[in-house]
Amino acid sequence: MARRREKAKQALAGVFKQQVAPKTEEKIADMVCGQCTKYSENSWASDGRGTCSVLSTGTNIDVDPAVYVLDGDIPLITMTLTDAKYCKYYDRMKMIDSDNTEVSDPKYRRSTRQMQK
Amino acid sequence: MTDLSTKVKEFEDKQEWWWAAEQKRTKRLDYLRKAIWKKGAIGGQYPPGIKVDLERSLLGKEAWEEGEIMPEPVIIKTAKMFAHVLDNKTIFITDMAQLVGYVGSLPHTMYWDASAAEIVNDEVYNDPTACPEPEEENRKVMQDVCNYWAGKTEMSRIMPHYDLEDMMKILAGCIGWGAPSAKHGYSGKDYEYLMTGKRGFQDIADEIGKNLDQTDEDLFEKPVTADPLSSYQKINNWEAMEICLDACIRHAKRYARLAKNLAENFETDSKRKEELLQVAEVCEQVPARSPRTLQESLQYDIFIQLFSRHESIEGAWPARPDYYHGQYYEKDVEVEKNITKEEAYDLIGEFIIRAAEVCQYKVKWAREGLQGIDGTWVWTIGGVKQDGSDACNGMTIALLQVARLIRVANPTFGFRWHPKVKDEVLKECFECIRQGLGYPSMRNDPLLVQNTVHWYGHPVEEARTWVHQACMSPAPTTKRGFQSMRMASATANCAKIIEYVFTRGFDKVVNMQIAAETPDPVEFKTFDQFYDAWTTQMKSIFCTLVRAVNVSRQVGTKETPRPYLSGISERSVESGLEVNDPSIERGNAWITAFTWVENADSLAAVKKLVYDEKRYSIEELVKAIDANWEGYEEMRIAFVNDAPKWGNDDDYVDDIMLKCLRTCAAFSKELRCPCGNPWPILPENVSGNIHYGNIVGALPNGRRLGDALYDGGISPGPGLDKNGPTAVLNSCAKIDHVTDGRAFLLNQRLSPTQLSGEKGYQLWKSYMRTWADLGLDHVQFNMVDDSTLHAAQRDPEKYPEVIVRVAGYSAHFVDISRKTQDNIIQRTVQGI
Repeated sequence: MARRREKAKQALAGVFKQQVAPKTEEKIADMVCGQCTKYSENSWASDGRGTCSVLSTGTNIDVDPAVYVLDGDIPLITMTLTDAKYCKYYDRMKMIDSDNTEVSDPKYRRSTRQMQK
Repeated sequence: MTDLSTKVKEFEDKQEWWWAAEQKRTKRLDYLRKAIWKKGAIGGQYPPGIKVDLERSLLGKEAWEEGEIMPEPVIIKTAKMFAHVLDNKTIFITDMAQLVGYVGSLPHTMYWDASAAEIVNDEVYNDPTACPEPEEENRKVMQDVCNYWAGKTEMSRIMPHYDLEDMMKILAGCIGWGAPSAKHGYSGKDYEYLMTGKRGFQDIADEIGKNLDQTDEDLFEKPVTADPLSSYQKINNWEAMEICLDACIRHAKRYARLAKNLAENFETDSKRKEELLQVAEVCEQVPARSPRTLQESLQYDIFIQLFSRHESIEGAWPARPDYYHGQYYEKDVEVEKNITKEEAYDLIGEFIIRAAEVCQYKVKWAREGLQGIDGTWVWTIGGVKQDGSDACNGMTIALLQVARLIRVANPTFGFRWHPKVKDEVLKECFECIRQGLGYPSMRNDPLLVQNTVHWYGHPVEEARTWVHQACMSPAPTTKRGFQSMRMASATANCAKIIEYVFTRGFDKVVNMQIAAETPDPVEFKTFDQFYDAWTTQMKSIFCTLVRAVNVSRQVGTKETPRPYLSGISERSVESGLEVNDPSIERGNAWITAFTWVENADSLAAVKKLVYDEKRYSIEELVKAIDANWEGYEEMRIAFVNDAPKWGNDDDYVDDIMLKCLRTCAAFSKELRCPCGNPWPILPENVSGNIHYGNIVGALPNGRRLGDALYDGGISPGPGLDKNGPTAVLNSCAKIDHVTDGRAFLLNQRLSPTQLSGEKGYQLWKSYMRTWADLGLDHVQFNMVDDSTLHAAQRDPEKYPEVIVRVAGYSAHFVDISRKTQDNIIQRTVQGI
């Protein structure tokens, strides 16, 4: 049981590390996680947090070359605006709607208001 | 015919109800209606011009900072913060208003309680439209507030008590809808204590004072007991209640002073001057003492609700306005004739408008799940008295008629139908539905009273007081019967149950093991094995949610107390225990089952096409689901078209629905809430079917990731009920609406053209008779035709007031997302 709790602690740390203090307006990179089909914005909160359906905790896409962990139990907690230029799994979605309600490809619908220029 | 009535008739003939209503209502009501700031999120985003109220968050911070050095329990600090806000917030009275009280400090503001959760604060801060002007300066204020509360919020206090894995799963956002907090969500009220004309807040405060003195005397003038601590805790609780009640009385008196000041020093119109003096008199009387007139009664009710929203983020509004205000309506309008019917309607209309204006900043899951509204204000009307006799009165009819005059989407009504309801009342219900309001929803009162007794053991007299705790669930308004928190935070995204059978509990969307690791589905040789895995997944999801909610309730009394709600609840005033203490409530928990019917349709498809007819192997199905049906379109179409679907009176799939419900009902008796009662399920959706569209993966009913889910409850999938309204009713009637679950939402669309005039009413009435005879507990109708809805999609500017029933609530059609709009249009229009 200790292992079960330990894993959850790691995952929660990923969730909470980015929400302690709000950020000021950011410059938006060309390739952000929020526009990748592998990314899923958290449906509970809209502070820009989400998960990657391919990468797991331990992954680092901030560096070149990126470090990939594919087989962990805990997903990579990433953010809508995370710069994903070093991620080889990046797959940009098609944007078919920009009215901020259904926004992008309905298959991967998510809020993109933080991407507004 | 006068010009006015000709005009009205013209509009009504064209079914342009908004324009007809505009002609019919008084100038005051017209002004107040048009002055509403609509605050429900459009799709998932707040409308332009609606801003966060910074004043509340600053006052809250000020109070908490001041109390930091004091060694006081959380409940006292919470009460002092509540009092500080009420004593210092900006108050105002709008033109023509006769009723006062607002949650925001300006009409266009949303209440923001920064002490609740960091996650809410982050959302507020990052919201690009909600920051008030001047934005740069106010962003800094917001940042200060957020930084102050980081690590200190209620969420931070309760989080360490939860199982971390459960929390991670809930925060992942794929199985649960809601926050497991005892404080926020929604709370019932002890109306039998508060609203029966026997006491006001001062009377309660006096009662608390006596209890305090007595306990203090017992503690210090008698030999020391083994447990002085529980007495200290009671003393703290009572003191906190007292602080809150006193603050409420002072707040009302601030309005009295403002109204008097305006009347005496600023108002030049003599009639308005009189009205303001009347407002002053009303606010001197209530909430301190019990109301004497209809205006006082309505004002009292508004205060009760608004104060509750100064303590908690309330997502619902359990109320029974005709029952509790009826005696004052009767006295003032029908017996003593102190006011005219028109004057009463102005007051009642304003009462509804005051509720429509309420808005507290909500997190994403709430904004998306409740598109177009701030919360499900489903007010309960009709029903029976505690002795079983008809409770409908003049106020019932007044509310239904006023609703058609002001046409707001929130609050709505849920009507407690019973066999003794008079035709004149039923006709008013029908008119509201026919005129496109989407409400009242119709509830089968005798059956729901029975259901309430069955699940929780409420005495029948108490069960008969029931109100909608939120959209659907009945809860009594009595001392031990009312529910003080949203136990329904155990709201399950049930489509995940069937999805997880294929993924062995692994959620591919969030890339995490969320539920039980059942065997690889390719190993299932029989449908029974497949169904066993479904049962295991259901139990796994339900347990995760219920554990968290139970814990929130257990720790709530200490970490997230509600001193105000305790102060207006007989059980707390009497016992000195915080209102959420499980020992003083009988319990009324339920699991709201979102996206439920997908399970029955999917299981039926698997059974028929894989196990019975063997047209496809389980391996093929697993592959197709894994590929989100991509490359398997022909097979997908077979799963859509060749498998029976719920709502067509087809025993093949209906039996599976019953099996699922009964499996859940049996398991819900094994689950216990802290009050000791079971957790029956309640299938309904709000707009969770859209919210979860991109979270739920492919399903065997042919659905793909991203498609909207069904509109919920036990409503058939949109357009899949092909055998007419009777078949839908027959399918639904196979469910035992007492023992199979808590309540069952049913959406139906009817044709406004078919149901016009007296003939239309008779048709509907006979439909309702069948509905009641078949033993269904709920039905609600959309009666707006496709052409109007399509036109509103094309040209939303021209149709701002078209209202539709989404699920357990109504919304303006233009305020819901395109996907939700399409989902409503897809629903089958039934000819009856």
